[in-house]
Amino acid sequence: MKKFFRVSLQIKILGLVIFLLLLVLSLVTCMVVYMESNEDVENAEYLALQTAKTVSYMPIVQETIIQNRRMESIDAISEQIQEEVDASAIRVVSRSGETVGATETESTVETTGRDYYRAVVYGSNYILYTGKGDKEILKGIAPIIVDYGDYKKMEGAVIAEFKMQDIHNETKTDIKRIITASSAVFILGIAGSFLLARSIRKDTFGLEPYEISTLYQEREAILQSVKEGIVAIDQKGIITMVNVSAQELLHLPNHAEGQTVYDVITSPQFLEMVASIEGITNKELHYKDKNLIVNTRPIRRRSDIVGTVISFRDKTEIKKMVDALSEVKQYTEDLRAQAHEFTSKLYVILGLIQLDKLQEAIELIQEETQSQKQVTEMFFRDIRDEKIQAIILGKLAKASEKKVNFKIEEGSSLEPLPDHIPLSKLIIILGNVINNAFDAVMDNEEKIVSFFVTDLGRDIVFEIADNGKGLEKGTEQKIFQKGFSLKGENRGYGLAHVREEIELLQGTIEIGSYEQEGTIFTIILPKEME
Amino acid sequence: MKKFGMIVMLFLLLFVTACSSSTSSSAEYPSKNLEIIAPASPGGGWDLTARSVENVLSSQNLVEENMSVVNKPGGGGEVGWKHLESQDAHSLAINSSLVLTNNLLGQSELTYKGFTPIATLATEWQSLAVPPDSKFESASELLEAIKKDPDSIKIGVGPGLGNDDHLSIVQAASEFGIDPSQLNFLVYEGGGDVVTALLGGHVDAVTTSLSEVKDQYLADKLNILAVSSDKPVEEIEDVPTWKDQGIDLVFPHWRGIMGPPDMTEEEIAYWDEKLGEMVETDEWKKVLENNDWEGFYKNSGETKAFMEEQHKLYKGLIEDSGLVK
Repeated sequence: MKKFFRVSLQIKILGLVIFLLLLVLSLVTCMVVYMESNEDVENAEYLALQTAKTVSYMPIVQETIIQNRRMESIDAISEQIQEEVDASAIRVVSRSGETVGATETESTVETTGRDYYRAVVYGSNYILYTGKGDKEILKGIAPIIVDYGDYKKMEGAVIAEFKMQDIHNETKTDIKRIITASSAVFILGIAGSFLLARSIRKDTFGLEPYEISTLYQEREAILQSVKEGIVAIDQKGIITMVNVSAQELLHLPNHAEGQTVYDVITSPQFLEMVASIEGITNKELHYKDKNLIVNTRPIRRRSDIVGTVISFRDKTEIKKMVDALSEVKQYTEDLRAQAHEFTSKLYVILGLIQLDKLQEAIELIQEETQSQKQVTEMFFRDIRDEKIQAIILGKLAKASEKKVNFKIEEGSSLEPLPDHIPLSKLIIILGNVINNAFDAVMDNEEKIVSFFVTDLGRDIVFEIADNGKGLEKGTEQKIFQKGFSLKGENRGYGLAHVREEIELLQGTIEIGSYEQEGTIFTIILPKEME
Repeated sequence: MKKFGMIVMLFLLLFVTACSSSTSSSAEYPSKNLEIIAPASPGGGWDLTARSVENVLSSQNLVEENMSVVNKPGGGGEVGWKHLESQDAHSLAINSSLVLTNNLLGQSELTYKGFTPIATLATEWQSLAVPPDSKFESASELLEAIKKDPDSIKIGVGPGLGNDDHLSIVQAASEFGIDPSQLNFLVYEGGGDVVTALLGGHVDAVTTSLSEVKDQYLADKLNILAVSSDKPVEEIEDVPTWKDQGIDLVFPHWRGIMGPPDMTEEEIAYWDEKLGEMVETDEWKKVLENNDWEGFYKNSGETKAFMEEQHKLYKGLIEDSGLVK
């Protein structure tokens, strides 16, 4: 059904033009025809009346009627007038009803006394219609008023007859002419509509309107689906297009289109970039809590700038990816270090055996086994989650390389973690916090970092404690801010990311620190997301 | 919602102003000078009626506003009435049967329906008069003679065909069974000329209003064969009515007053009250007596019905008379 209505532009325009033309032309034609026929009849009535009056005033008619006898001369005059006005008959009757003069043509309808009664009795001039259909006759009737000096007398009447058929025929000829003219207009209109349709198709590269709309929708879908934020504005700064990514990245309100960019964006740097005439390539911008990489490109028509397209990516996301990657790299590094350590231990054992110091060799192996056993037993018995196992193993290796005593607290226990906590996030959270703890104890004689985890209750609780020198008072909260670091320039994103990720998992992070005693980070993640 | 409220307010405002304007206008009517249009030159019957009405209403303090009479002669009333059509309710015009017959005879486009009927005030009666030495003693004798030989009896009438003088005799003739087109009318310039022609022996009979021939009748200079009233007229009680002679004809030559189209009910009621009081005054009765008029007062409602009835009568007379029977 829908396909049926999807007609080409040509047919649409043609249909509309034909409809409108037919409507207007038929209305106008009807009106003109109506007025024309009315006018023809009115003209005929006027002519009939005037003819009758004129004849009635003629001296010869007046004289004849006084003598009340038929005269040839009247017949001749009647006929002459009849010729001139195209009447069908003219009759002069006396008051007593006798015809004193008439044209030769036989009246098709009998003239009765009733017809000229009003003329003779009241001296009225008037129009009468007699007969029906083709035989209908229009009569103009005028009294013959004879002035006798002292008084006047109605002595008779003149009747001028016109056949309605003649009048109708005349009207018909006129109507034919009008219809011919309107047909010509109609054909012209159709030709015009063809030209119009063709001209429009030329402008649209031969595309039908529905094809254009499909194209438009496709473009829109493409724009909306890209991950990069795209905003287009016109020369007045009014936003003409915003895609979904841009809306999310810039925290724009819904339906930002139509507002000016100055109303919805407050960042002066961003606005500066928008106003740039040259266009900007890969410029970094700190916007709200995000780092954006911005490109702008002015739209030019001839030499004028008619708008700007701004596209931007979230650098934060890229950085996170880089961080996770470097973390993974570190694990492989750690594992390599551990392998190296083992190799050196094996060399020591080999050496002892070769020196025949078997007792020492056995002791070294036992010592080593003891420490490994303690670690692995605890692990595989109490901490059942493989992701955490992997992270802790890596950190254990790093700790032994850095000569840090990395302890898993007694009583730690963990069932497999729920699916909504992915490995990548855990790497960022735990990796950063544990690394920080390692860094904190680096300068100590006795380097102890302890790790505790429990999943009793609704939450999963991690505790990472170190015996470093602790944080200065007042810096506890600052360490979560971006760019704050105790370790030097161009750092300080670690804990900020940690907190971001924890918040995404709807968890919290707490920090307890005592100068010269150490710091405890407590991370609480809910088992179920709301 | 805001727009809707605006529209409602607008309508309310319109409504209030419309109400206030209409009530104020009706409450204040008449709010300015009144004028009575006499559609004829000074001295005629219409002019006399207009001036009498103005005189009585003012002198009796029935109407406090200034009143004036305006003469608009021409076209058998046509000019004056046409003028009235465009006036407001403070103008009225005198009328008579011509307001009906002008249209029926094709002399005017105006119809009585285009005006607001206010009142019918007075009437005269029509008379059929013959010379004193006439061989005809009664109207029926005369009609009988006409029936035999229509051309032999010359009847004088004036100033034009189609007036009440003419129509009354046309109706009488057709009641008697004569084809009116056979009647031998001689048309004179005016009522006076008709009587002169009668006295001079140029015509056998005349039809004219009673006032034109009453004095001559009392002076025995002519004989009146019939009057068109429903009962004998004072002073000339011996003259028989048409009814007395077996011809069913009562023909008033009435005069009334009408207003422009679309007068409000309040305005009409005002005149019903004032004119109703006026016709009761002694002054008005004196006017009637002096002019040989008869009181014929009908209020607006009655006048409306009367006009319709008269219109039917005249229409019948003019279009069908004589030939239908």
